[in-house]
Amino acid sequence: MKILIIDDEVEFATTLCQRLKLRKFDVSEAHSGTEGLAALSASPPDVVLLDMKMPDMSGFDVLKVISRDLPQTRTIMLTGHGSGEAGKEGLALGAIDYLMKPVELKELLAKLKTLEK
Amino acid sequence: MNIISKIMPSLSGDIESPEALEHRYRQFSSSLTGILLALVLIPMFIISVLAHSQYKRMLEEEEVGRLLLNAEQAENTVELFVVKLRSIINFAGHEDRYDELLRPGVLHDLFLRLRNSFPDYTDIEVIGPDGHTAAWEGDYVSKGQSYIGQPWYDETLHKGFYISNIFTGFRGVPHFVVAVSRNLKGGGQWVMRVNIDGKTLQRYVDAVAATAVDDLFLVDEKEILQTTPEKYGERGKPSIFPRGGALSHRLAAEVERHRQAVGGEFLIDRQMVDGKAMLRVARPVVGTPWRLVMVKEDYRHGTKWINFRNHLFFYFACCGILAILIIISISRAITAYIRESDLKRKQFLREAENNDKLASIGRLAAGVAHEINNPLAIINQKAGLMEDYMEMTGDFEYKKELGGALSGIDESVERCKTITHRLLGFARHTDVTEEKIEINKMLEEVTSFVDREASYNQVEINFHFAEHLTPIVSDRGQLQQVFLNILNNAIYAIGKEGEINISTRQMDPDHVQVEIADTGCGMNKETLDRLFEPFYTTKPTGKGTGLGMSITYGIINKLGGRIKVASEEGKGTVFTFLLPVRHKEEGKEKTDV
Repeated sequence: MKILIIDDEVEFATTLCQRLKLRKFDVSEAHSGTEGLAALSASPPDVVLLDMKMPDMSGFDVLKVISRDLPQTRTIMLTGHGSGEAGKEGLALGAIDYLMKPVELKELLAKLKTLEK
Repeated sequence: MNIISKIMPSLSGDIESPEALEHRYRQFSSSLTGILLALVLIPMFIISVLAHSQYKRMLEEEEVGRLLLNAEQAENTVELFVVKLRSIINFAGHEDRYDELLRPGVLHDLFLRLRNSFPDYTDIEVIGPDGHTAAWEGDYVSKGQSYIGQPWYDETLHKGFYISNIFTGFRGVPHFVVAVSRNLKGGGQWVMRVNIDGKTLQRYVDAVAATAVDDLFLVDEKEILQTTPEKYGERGKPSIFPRGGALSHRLAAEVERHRQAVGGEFLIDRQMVDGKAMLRVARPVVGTPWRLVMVKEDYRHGTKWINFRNHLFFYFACCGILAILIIISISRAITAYIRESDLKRKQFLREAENNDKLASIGRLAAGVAHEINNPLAIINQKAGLMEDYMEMTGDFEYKKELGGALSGIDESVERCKTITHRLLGFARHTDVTEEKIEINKMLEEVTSFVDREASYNQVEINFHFAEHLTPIVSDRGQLQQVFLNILNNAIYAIGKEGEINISTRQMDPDHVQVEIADTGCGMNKETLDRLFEPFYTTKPTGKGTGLGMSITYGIINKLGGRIKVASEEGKGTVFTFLLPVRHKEEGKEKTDV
């Protein structure tokens, strides 16, 4: 399973990436919306872990592009807002799920597992 | 308007000092009472005084008029009596009867006839031209007496008629004299003199006096009483009424009018006798030396006046007391109304201020929480990565301790997460899942969560539920959170032994009220003011986040309800929730973080 993490928090993205790699996932990371879009078009992943708030463009904008151009790619939103509202907005735009920061790895793994099936 | 604004208590200046404000309200109430009383009582007083003086004037004028009329009638009666006496004597002493009367028996017969019609004739005497008694009948006259030079004789000869004052004389019986003079054919004058018992006059005067006057009597020119008054004085003594009392200017005008209408000579004045005001009329009796005096107690002693005055006073007092009572209660009601609306305004201001404060604190808190969430996520992932590596690495020294330290980090991250999520939850709308809720049932459920703790702390929980409460459509989970929070706080406030009373009430078809009252320690003013502020807590550090009440506030607001708190230190706290039966969704706030 190919995963792309798009988050402007470099430390977070890198660490999560490392942890997923340890669990034998094919993971890459991008640290801004633009970078993410470039990585997406280079090689479309199966799953995108997408942060909502980034300085150059918001996660929603990236999500719109994914929904439009990459129907095969599924998106899990990462939200720091502590409420489900923003996550639900993401679901409306085509994301399949959302997680609240700080993300529990167990929770993420469980969701990935259901996606694999 | 100016006066009103002067007496109106203003909210602006004294808002912080309840005593001063209360003083202003009292002042306002009494000023209002004063103004209203003045508005009512002054006109009432003026009308009463006018009625008083008008009626007094009417009575005075009526009294003077009637007295003058009575006096005139009385004088006429006495005058008539004198005229009658005179005509009888004139008839008896006919011009040419002198010689006939001197014949034996003739005067005697005449005297007997006269006595038949007037028993009070005591004697009759014929006086010859020489001034000596020529013939006489009766008991007291002594024949041969000469009257020449006596004033009455001279006056009789001069005027043809004489009437004397009443005198006792040597007989010891009060009497008066009536005499007429006649011309003799051969020149000279003879005189017929009749003595009449004073009682005759007294009888006449008494008969007249029976009319509505207090006293009636005759006096001579020297104010010596000629008849015995019923009350004031004794015959033969001077009258007790001094001459020339005063009359008011207004009455003098009335008297003048009367004098012009009736004519005749009279004197009217006011006298004080034994502390009583009396009205006196004196009128000369024509053809006599007497004056008729009529005395009447002034109107002030009459029943008409006393009744009028009593009635006036009674009605004035009744109306006055009634007006005072009504005005006082009106002033109190108005003051209470103003006080209440002031209080409402104050409460509204405070609530608005509170809302504003909470909103800005909420925004700040959300910002902080969001900023913390990101580094928290990094810490979380880093610690997780370290745990991953540790699992992959074989045993090494301190591996166990390191594992412990990492799980410590995990726990702390978890705690932080709870706080930040709560903070964010407080700050913005979280989802509302609506369902039909029976409040009574839900309260029982929530209470069951704290039952164990309550019984452990000997806290009794009582329900006072309204029957047939309309089910409300709201968020069950959030309402449960609210009531659970309040119940936990109540148990904490009570500590050991106490009571929690939960009651519900249908306020109107659209609102349900829930009241949770505890007998705990209560709150002071500062706590009450800051109750809904996030992070404000009275619990020891580590025991409470200080977010419970602010979240409660946020939830109730979001569900379209209202929350009210009343608390008294040492007595307890009462939370009142007003919940809408159906929550109308407001325009959703846009997330601004």
